[in-house]
Amino acid sequence: MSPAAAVAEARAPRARAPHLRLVTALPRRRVRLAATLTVAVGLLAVFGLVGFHVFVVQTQIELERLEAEVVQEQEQFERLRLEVALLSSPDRVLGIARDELGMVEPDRVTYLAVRESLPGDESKPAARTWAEVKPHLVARR
Amino acid sequence: MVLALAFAAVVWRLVDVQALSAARFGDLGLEQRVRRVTLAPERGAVFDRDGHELGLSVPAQTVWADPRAVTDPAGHARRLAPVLEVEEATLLERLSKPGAAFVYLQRKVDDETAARVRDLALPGVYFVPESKRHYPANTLAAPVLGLVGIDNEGLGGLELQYEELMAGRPGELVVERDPQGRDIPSGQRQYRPPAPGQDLILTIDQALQFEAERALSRAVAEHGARGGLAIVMDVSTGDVLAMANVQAWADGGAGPEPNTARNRAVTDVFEPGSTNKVVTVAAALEEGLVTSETAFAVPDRLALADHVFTDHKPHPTEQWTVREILTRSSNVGTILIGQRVGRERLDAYLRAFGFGRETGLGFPGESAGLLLAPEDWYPTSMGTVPIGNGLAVTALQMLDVYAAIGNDGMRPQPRLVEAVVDERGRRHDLDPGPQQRVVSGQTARLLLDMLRDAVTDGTGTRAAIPGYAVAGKTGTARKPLENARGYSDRHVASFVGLAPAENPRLAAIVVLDEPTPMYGGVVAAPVFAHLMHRALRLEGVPPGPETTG
Repeated sequence: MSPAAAVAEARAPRARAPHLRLVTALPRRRVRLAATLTVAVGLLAVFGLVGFHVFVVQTQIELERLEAEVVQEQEQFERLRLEVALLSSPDRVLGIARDELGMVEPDRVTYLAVRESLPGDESKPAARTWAEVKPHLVARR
Repeated sequence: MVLALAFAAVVWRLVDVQALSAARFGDLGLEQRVRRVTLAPERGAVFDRDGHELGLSVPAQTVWADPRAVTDPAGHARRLAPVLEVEEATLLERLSKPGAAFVYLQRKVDDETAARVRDLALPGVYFVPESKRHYPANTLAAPVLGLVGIDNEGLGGLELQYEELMAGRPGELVVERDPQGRDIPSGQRQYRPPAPGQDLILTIDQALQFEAERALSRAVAEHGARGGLAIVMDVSTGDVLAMANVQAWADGGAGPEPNTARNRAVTDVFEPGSTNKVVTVAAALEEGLVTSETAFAVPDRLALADHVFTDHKPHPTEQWTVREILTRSSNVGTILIGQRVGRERLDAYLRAFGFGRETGLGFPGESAGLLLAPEDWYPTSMGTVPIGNGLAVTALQMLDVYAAIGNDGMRPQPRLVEAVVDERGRRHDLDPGPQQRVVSGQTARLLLDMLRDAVTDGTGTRAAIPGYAVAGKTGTARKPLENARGYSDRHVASFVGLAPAENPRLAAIVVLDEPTPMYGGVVAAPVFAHLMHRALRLEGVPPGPETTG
């Protein structure tokens, strides 16, 4: 640059310098603390969510296991009910009475006439409700 | 440039999948994961009146296969055949079925068989739970109970009649499953439980039903009959306590019919013969045309149109009262009474007593019987109909006649079901059906008195029960020819009666088809006595105070 040009440049009005403000730098400790806390909270949230999800899954699995167990027990109840009915069928009972116990049918039936009334003669037996006849079925339903 | 294009394509695909077609892909994914499982309902059970199980459904396993996953169909078939008791060739055909993803190998096997199949650990062979119907008392009341099909649908008998009540309603499980078929725990899950079917509580008494079948089987075998029927009914309610159908076997024995057989007690008809005379006499008494002591000059033969009707024993012309005509079961005497009643009135009383229409039981296949309209009667009908020929009835219809007499002239409506139990275990009693006045109480009591004489002094002496007064009537009717008019030399023997005669609680009918000897008083009356005696004891009806058994 020639001397004249340098003088001209020196004399030319300079662009206004931007207004600058001095910013005080944050303590490094606080930044680190904030970042750590943020990460910690984030991690906690993530783990908490995962943990909750695990809890839900485990509970669901347990629920299904219990439901399957209930179904199994109900099925076993039905099978036992059939077994009871088979064991008490008239054909079977008659066969055991006749063939194993040697019982015979009587030739005649003797009735004993009771002349005097007995306690309870006046009262009629209460009609049997279904709950009395088959309580286990009522509970099952 | 190429990179820019590739990047643009990726971005476009991303936008398409995530935004533009998001719903479609979401639905597709859901469709692949979501499974709808229909949950079969438990079919209602059938109980006798005391709560004994007569029919119930129990869990069973059905064995199925996916032919696409079966690597060795021949090997599978060879190993499964002895376990499932299915022909090896049949199994091979099913396991080799091209294009099939599901084939049944055996439906509803028992637990032991299922365990044996599981132990084979055959790839492509799986299980699905189903329920199987059982009848623990075997053939007891089998034609009455009926049967169900392989899919537990009612096919006959009460199982069919009450199908809608007993079938229940299926439920549904909507669940998300992974490709291995396992439930996704946090996925969609909706459960609608199946509604179990309702249970039936019958009027049938298991012990009395068993005894009826036993006694009837003995009589059928002893007398060489083709079969037999017996029904016991409570006259005041119409409750059927026993309804037995028995068939003769080829080896000369006899036993209850299976559940594939018709319930002949309500489906089959027969000409009742002399048991129908009570209707003729009832009509004459009710119309005031005769009293029990009105006398008729009764010869032992009577010509009517082109036929001669005879009494079963020759005798000179006798002066017999209406009471004696009924007690002696005189055909000629009854025809004379019938002529006094007249065709139109006799027909009206036959219909009032329930002939010519179903009883209201509602049983599948129940017959209304055969009763011609009066204008279609033959010239000989005024000889045949009064004595129980020329019309056909079911055993239940004939029993209902006597139940009406025992119920003070009110005909009860028979019923087999007294209550239902809903899905919550609550019992709901069903009202007995409407009763219909047929004759007055006075006529009914008079008839009872005459029928009592028929047992003490007449043809029904073998129906007597020690300690109890019995009223009833014998019947010995010739069977019509099958494909021609006229009658064969084969007979139906019957006895219908009531006890205790002074205040009837129960009525019963016993019918034997082609027994030897043929007389109702000889072969059917003793069965009635045995059965009615058991029934009275079961019902706790005490005998008269003056006698012991």
